[in-house]
Amino acid sequence: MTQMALVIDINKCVGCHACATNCKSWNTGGQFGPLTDNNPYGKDPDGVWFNRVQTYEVGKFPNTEVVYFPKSCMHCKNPPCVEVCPTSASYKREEDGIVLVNYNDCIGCKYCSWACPYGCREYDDFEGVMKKCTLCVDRIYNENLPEDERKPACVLACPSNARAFGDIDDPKSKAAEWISEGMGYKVLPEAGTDPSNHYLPKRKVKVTIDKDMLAARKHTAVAMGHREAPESEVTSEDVAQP
Amino acid sequence: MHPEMSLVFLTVFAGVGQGIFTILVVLDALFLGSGRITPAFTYVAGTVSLVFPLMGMAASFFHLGNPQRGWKAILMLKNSWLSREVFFLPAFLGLDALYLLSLYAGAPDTTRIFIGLLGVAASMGLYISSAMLYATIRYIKEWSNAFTPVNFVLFGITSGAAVILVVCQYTNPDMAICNGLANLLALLASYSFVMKALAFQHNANIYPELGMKNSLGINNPNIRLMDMGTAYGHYNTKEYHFPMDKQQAGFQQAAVLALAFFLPMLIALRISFAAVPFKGLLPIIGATAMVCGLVIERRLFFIQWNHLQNLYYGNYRMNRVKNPVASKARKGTPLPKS
Repeated sequence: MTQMALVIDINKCVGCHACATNCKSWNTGGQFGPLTDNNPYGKDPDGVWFNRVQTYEVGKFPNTEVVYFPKSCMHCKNPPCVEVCPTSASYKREEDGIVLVNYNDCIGCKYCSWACPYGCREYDDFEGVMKKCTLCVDRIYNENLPEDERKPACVLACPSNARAFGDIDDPKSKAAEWISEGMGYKVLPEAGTDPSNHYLPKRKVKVTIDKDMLAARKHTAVAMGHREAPESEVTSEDVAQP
Repeated sequence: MHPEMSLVFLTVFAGVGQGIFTILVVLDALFLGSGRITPAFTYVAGTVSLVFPLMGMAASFFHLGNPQRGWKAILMLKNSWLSREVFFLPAFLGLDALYLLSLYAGAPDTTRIFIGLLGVAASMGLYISSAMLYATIRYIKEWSNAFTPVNFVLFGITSGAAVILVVCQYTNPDMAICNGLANLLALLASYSFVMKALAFQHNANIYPELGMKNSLGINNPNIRLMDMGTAYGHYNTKEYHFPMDKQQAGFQQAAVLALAFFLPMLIALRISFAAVPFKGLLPIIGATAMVCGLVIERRLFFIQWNHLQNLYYGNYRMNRVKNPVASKARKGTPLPKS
């Protein structure tokens, strides 16, 4: 089985929203557009976005950290939204596992959005149909684009290389590699939907320096005129990936 | 959730119509050939049982983004309860109309009763599919429990009994049948009262098993949303979050129990104990109170849901309830003494 999906490294995401804006930019003019905006320049702008970056504070002050959590359709292997659709407008493609909405069949009953535990479906009240991330299906097979651009818009835009795209069921793909090497996990597995999008966890790299190394470093530091290195074991917290 | 009034009216009004029709056919079959059920009663009750679901159906179109292709909703009978609901609603209306037509055309009694029973079957199908549509969404614990299907059927038939009682008072001179209907209404309303009170109690005591740590996959009990990824909310934050304070919710719950069930029950008892045929405002007040109460009930049914996806937007309601599993383990299995 082929299952295209995104793998998002929470550790690398810097919360710049470039993925979300590039997604909006491509998709509003793409085959699944427009992504309608209501009152875009007013005090209460509201509209359809396929991808949103949420910001969370984890921990209690002062031991807190910020987590950026980009969320778009998970393209579940067992999608509850497809199961409940009364018109079969919502469907999962056999060839690549992408979950799509056929706007010509959608009656706008919103039942699929009730069935989605992730809140990844966005209703367009201008067109009266439900819209959602298409995994840029109009990009990834688009022969008018250069081959290295046949990826979802969010993946192309990410400046910190926090997103991988590919067939998660093919162990040789970049996405599957990221999952297996970076301990990829699924969010809300309790919902039983078997989401295809994976996340790589926020990690802390702890470097432990043993005493011998410390002694050597102390000599160097003294020789260079720096202050003395502490005697105790040094543990540095480094959030960057090794 | 934002209460979807079109769905509130659809489910309440269709339920009333189905209830009236079910009771009408059962009465017709029970007293077949005895002449105790007047044609006027059957015509009026049958027509009312058509008008209510038609009003509900009209309201339901306002829910759809593209009502012009609403007929397509019938395509997925195999796996969608909504599709089944869309199948059973016109089936019920058609059989209801056919039943009235067979009475008008003077068809044999058995044919009429057969059509009526088919209509009752369609009505049950409609009750069950409307209820299962809500009950099968396992991410809303307020809906996915046995109270949903039981209450949909029970409240539908109860409200049908309240309305058919009014019709009976004015069109059927047989006092015993009116009193029987009043007894039935008193019984059903008291059952409904208990079931709704239990459902409110059940929903207030739902233990929130999942939290933001599950939705993000980060094992930390202290997670706070700082930015939902949008300046002013969007479909998912507006549709799924309708804040109502506890006092207001309590007031509305009391109003539901009083208006929809308690008052009609008292009125039904008053009618069933009446010594002479009872005609007056009381049954009309009872039926009106019940329908209004059920509209509030169905509106609360929507408002008081707590969808799992609210976890992502910091809107998930965390009931302060003890973990039932943990407390049971503590009570039942004491730790071995070393």
